[in-house]
Amino acid sequence: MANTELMEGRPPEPVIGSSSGLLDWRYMRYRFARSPLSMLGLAIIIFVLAMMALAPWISPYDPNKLDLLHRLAPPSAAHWFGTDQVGRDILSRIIWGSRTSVTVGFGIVAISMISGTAIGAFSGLAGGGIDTAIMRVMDVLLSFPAFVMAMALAAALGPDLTNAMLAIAVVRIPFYVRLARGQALSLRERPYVKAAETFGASRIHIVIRHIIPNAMAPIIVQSTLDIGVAILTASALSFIGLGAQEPTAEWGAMVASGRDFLLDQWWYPTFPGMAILVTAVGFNLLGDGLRDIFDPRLRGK
Amino acid sequence: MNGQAVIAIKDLALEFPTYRGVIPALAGVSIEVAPGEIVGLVGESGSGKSVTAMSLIRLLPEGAMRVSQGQILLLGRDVLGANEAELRDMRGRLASMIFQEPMNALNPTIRIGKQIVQVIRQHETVSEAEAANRAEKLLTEMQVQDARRVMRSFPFELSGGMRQRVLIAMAFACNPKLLIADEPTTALDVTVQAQVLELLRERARERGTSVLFITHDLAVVAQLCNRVYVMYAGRIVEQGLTSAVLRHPLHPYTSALLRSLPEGAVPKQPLAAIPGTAASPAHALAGCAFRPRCRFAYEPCTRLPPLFPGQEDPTQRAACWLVAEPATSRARAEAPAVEIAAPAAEQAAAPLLQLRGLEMRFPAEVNWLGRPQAHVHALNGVDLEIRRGETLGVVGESGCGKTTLGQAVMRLQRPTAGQVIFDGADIWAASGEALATLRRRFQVVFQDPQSSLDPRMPVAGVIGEPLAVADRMSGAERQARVMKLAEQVGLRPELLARYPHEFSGGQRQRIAIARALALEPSLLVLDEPTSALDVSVQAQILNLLGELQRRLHLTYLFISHNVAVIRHIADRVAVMYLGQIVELGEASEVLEQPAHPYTRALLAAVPKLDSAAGLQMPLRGTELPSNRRLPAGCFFRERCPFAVAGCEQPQALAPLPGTTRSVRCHRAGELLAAG
Repeated sequence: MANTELMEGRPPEPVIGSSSGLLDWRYMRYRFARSPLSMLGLAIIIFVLAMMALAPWISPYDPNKLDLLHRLAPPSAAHWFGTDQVGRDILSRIIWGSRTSVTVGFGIVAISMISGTAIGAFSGLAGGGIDTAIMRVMDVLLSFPAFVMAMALAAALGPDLTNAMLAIAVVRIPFYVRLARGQALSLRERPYVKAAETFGASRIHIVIRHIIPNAMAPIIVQSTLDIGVAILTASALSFIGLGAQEPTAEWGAMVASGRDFLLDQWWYPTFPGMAILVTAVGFNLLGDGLRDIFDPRLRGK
Repeated sequence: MNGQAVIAIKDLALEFPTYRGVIPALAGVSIEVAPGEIVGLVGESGSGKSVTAMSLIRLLPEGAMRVSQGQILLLGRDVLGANEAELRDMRGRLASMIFQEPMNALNPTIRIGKQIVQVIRQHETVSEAEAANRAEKLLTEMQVQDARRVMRSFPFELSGGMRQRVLIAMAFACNPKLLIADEPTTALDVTVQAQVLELLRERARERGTSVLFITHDLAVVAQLCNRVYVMYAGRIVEQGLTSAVLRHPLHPYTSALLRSLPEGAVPKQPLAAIPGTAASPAHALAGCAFRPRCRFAYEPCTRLPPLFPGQEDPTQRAACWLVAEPATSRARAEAPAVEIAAPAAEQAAAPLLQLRGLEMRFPAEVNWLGRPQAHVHALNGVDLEIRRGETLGVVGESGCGKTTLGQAVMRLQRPTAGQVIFDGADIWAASGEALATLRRRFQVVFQDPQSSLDPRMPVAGVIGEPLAVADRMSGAERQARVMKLAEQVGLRPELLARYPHEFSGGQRQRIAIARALALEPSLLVLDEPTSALDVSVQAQILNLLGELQRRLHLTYLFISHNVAVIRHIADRVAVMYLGQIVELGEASEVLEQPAHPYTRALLAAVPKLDSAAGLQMPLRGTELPSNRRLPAGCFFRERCPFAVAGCEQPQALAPLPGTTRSVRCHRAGELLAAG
């Protein structure tokens, strides 16, 4: 209805800094300060990163030190999260395990984001037969259930954490390809891309200088949301024995070996599971916050 | 003013709290509209005119703004203190609003008829059938041909002009006392604009509805409004009768704005541009906000001037200390214009650019096999020559193919047939090294400087990009060249590290021009380069383009829908209609004594600053025919007031004996002689 239409009623956008998404730190701070959940996500992530960096200093015990006298000890002042079946301190293993688990999460996302974005941006800009061919390959990849596909790849590469990481990264590439391609399809019609064509810029130049920088905002949001998923998937692969191998401290592997003790020694699988959960939630909250910040429809509110 | 004012805004101040602090939008705005009066509210972007309009029926998001002082009375009822139910009752029944973008104001998923019925039934208890009846009558009144069919249509099935008529019908549905029209014709073509304005005026007069008409276009105000308010930086700077304000403006801003229009200026001579950019209320100055751009600024201007009544007519008021001191204002006479001899185009040399039989079709309405069922005929045989050093203006309404023409010339869109020959070489046949060297010689400036600059690149990178791509220039060399280019277009070199969004629209267009000049081209294609800019800034850009042309010996292909701009800058002009050139010749001849009936209609529809000229509605058909199925014979025949037997034959662009122009009309000679 015309006379209650609110669309035109947005207050004028601030004159300076209104169109720059990634660079406008003041705007990001402003939005973050008004979103307690994103703040919580950010706090969790800072906490996890600090844990990774400070592991040698903050962990109470050596994560691999056996203590057969105190096997399967319940949580106590000496062992806050208890010990496992060979007497290793679970808290220390969780602290050290953050290095493996979170690094693997970042690694998976970095690999799939970088290769997926490059492929997608090029595909979208190239169009025609090249685009169709690339997208059909991606459709094939997507048509397998992601976890089964990752499992098959990891099994084929051999049980090892690096292989598990590569396998999951490959499975996640198509998501980024689709996202980046969609961005490229809309960006390639922008006048600045047309202008670059008029002075004879090559496709590579256009992808690197114009498409990728401008497509980054939604891709970064996606990747933040993905880190949680990646950590979970890597843990799941470790859980079924295709990822981290003993004695490496890794959250998924810890849950896996702890599952036999769930009924009698609940603390063994529960605390590593909580670590996975909290970290994944942290990244998801941050990702949601970033998505809201980058959403132009929410601008100016 | 007799009786109670329909709307009275009293000393309204409004601000937006944002993360950058509180941004004031309006400061002490007072506006009154009497019953039956049409009042204009004019200002450039950021002046606060739309915010004023929105605040009238409280359409601004409540949490996002704060009214710090003032009062709004709608027929004596307090708007600012009203609760939701009272507001709903006021909106639509007492005051309704028309927006600039009719597509955004209509619900895309509901049929037109139902949307109008909803509006009627919101405010009156009538049956569905009765409301539908009234809706149909309303549409007919708004000169909608075939109202029944339109009622069954969805918004996307209608043209922009038709959608605006539907919105006007909706706005009048409950016979409001006040109609607020926010730039309702800005998105429309001039011929459609003329019809919509006339319609608005007639319907408002019949019903005694008052209209508050918000626009940036002084000529529209001249044609439509009894009185006018001029806004600048969130304040009213001048008010009075339209004829008085436009003929003898009191405020230096109003007079500078009028003088910066290309309409009144001598073609090809520099325009009296207002320096700087329109002040935003966000960076408010103490005192008069226009001070930094004002030629007359003097010591008292640091204090805020109240609205002084004028000497001759006390109803005309202006917020300027000079009005109170007429002696000084007399002494500060107009600066004499500088005459500049325009360089003559080289008639004898071979043309720089030749278009031969250019045709462009796009497939549309694909069937299930992927075969196109119909084509959009964007260009239908364009032959054109551009001489070295001249400015060729291409003018026409939306859909006439002028932008497609630019795209074909820029080698961005391959024509279906025909050739584009640049300095003897077919640009669509060239490839590899030859194409690379050819490409540097023609460059483009787009309409919207916001989207034509990559937001993630600092300005130095934007201007230097062509050099990095085409010249493989080293960093230091490029830096020096970028500095020189920036200086050439009037950008301060210390700003080059900033990003495009930190610049105003006019400055962004300067950046785009600097980038286009980087490779030292011979031809610049200017695709509506000033359409997205305020008039005062438009004058600056037109002056810059004129100066660059003289200095660098450039050839321009200047595409615009704005007849006044084309008249000002072009040596020759090509008038386009449905993908064809209908008239081609010297700008002074074609745009002053048009021969083709379409050119005549186009020129007649352009609103004039002189309010005595009146609105004209010269066309029979209201809508541009679809370019999916081309009409047989002369494309303009169905809308042409001069159509006779013989018009069903296809017309050729033929030279008109005794003139320098070519016209695509077999009656051209006879029509020109008749005047």
